[in-house]
Amino acid sequence: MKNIKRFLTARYLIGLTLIAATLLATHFMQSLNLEDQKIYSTIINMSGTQRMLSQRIPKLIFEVEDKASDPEKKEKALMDLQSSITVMRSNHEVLLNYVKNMDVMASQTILPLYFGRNRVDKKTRGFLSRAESFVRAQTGSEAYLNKETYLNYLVYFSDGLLVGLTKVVNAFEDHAVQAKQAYLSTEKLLLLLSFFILFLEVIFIFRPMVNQVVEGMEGFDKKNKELLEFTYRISHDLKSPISSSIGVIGIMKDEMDSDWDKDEITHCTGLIESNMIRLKKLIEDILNVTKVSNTEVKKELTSLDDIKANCETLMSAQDVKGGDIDIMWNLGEQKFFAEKFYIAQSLENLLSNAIKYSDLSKDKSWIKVSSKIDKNICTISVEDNGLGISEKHQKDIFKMFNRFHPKVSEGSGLGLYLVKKNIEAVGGQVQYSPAKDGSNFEISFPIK
Amino acid sequence: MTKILIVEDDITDTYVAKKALKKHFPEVELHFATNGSEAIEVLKEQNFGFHVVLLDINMPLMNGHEFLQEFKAIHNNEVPVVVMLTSSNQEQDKQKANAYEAVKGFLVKPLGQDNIAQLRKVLLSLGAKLPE
Repeated sequence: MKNIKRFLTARYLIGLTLIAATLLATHFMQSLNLEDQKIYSTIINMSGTQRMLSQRIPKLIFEVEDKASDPEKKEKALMDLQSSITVMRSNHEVLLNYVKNMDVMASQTILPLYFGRNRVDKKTRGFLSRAESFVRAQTGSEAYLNKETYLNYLVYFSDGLLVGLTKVVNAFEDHAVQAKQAYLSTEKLLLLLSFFILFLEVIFIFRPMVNQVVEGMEGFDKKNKELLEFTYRISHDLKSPISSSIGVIGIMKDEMDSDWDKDEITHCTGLIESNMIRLKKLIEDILNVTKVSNTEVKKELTSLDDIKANCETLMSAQDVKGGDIDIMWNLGEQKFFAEKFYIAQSLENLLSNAIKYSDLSKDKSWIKVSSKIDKNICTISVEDNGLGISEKHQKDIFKMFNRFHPKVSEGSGLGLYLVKKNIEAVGGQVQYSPAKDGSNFEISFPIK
Repeated sequence: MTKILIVEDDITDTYVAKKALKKHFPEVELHFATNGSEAIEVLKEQNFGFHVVLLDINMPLMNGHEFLQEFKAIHNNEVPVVVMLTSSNQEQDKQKANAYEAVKGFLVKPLGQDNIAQLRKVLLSLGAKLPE
């Protein structure tokens, strides 16, 4: 559960961060564009004003000359003229400064207008200095030349200036359009990139997330079915030795008054006893199975000899006796870290099965327990010359409540299921392979 | 001669069935099988010459349900009929068994007086001659 939570949270964070990043990039692009458009419109406006002023200033000079007889109107026209000149000069400086700081592409088309063939800079400055000289002459700080001289100069400058400034306005407008197009295509690219990122997120983030959740649900479903099956079988298997015993007791009560011989009574009590033993073993197995599900296993320093000793203790506690069966141990001596108890319990189960299902028709029954360690995997195999398991039942051997030897078995049907659960709980595997004379079980588990 | 085939893997239940049936139906001939496939063999050997198959459900190798399927496939006479005798009183087991035409009864272990009475009814309906 913790892992799933971590997995999902990490993917969520990556997914959302990527989406946030594309949103931020889009926002950044937009505000950049807005700022640019604002500057462009100011600049275009300003260059339009320059164009307008280049026509207005000569007109105002005419007006100043015309209104020589009316001092009030002359004064007003002169003030207009002066402020127009100031505006045009300051605008010129702003525009020049702007053009000089523009990117290379733009400055290559606009700078030549100012300093190249059109000489807008030189013409503007000449135009303005003539106009200023006219103003100074009017205010008496400079000698007044004559009307024609001023007008000739102004007409000379203003003609070329109008053409140049018109070109400047057009160039700025072109530049704004180009910038807007560049922005639009960048935005398109960004949109495509966003879609691409979304696509990647679907593949690498959301799909694995969905899969993980679905897998989890399927796991729950499987566990649930397993639990239902478990409960069904448990309730049956717990009940049947009790019903059987009640049946025997019924028979005994019926016969109470008849002259039953001692053998019959012994047989009946024997049956009841074996049912009770079966019940006890089943309850122990159930407890073990639930223990595996509920306990966290820890690795401890152990050795195969240690596991063997543990297994033998379990066997004597379970009253499992080999009798005439020859148990041959052939184990390595290496020490390692592993979940000792679960492995010993599994081994005990395999050994008691091998003993329980020995083939009495054979002269000599034997069990061989051997081990091998390969890198970090330890494998213990338990081979016997017992009854074996017929081929059609081999696929079901690790399922719970399966018994394959009707005449021999008094098992709970949980033994091999428990082995599988134990070994899987420690991250290992259990395998069955038919041996020449009987069965061969192999448990392999990771060691440190 | 009335013949019953008892299909039961558990030795205690087999013993109880044998004792109870011998006591209540002394004239009935009893045969035994320990699982479904063994029962099929016995039936074939005896040419299906039984009145009743007393069938347990939970058995190794071939369980009661699997036996019913196999039985239906190889036999379609009215006799023998099948009477379930099981420790399961699960509804799903009951429904599954009763779905077969051959199944004429569902008895829950142990084989006490009530169950014997029901079995008697089935045997009588098949024309078996039983003393009162």
